[in-house]
Amino acid sequence: MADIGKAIIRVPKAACGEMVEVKSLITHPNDTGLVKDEKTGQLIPAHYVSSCKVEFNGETVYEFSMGPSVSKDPYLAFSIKADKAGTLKMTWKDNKGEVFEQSADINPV
Amino acid sequence: MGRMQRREFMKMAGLAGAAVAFSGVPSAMAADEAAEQKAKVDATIKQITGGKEPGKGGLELKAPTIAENGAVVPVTIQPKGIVPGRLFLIVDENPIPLILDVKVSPKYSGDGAISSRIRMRKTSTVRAYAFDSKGSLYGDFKTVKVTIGGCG
Repeated sequence: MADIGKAIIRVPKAACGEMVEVKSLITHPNDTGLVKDEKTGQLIPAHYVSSCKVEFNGETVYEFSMGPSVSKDPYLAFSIKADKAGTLKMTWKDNKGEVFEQSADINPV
Repeated sequence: MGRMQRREFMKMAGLAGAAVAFSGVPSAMAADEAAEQKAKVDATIKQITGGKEPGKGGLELKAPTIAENGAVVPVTIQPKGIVPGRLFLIVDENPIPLILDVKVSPKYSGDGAISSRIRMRKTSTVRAYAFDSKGSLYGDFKTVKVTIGGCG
């Protein structure tokens, strides 16, 4: 699973001062630790994204704490007031301590 | 219930369970499980709300009435006229009921909605809670019917 942590962030065009709805998706198996492997009969160990931090120009806007009940390839959408141009940075962490980062630009017109 | 008492109780419950298994009526076990699940959810809610009753309005929980696939259920929490500081999402029947706990910094978020996709084991009540920036609690609930469970 080399694709774990590959993230997509979509930022639509927005007028200055308006809310932009940012959509994000990160590739991750998000195993709950409660499901058995059909072949071996063993439980698949928990491996899920446990938190996601959203920063805009270095300021924290959202801090998500997520349980394993979030679907595979966790999807998060949220809104940010685009009153100036800047960088949106998202940092995901999973329960095994891995950290994934992705940035996107917000350029209100 | 004290420790010894509990142990006695569990022993008895185990025997009862075995008896039930032989007679082929698993309803007592199912009832135990349901009670356990309810206690888990109640504890989670109490931890979040501190025992407070949520006010009416303030937010809307958007989720399908019938979800065909429990592995991917889209949900949206839409604040209505409040600026939330913290949001929670709970699914009553999930093994781990608390799904999302979101801290929001109102400067850039305003009354923007939050969406995600979640797993649901079976038909259940979905609860959204929000604290606004003044600390008032709001809640909205919805029952989502799940045709195919999403945890296996």
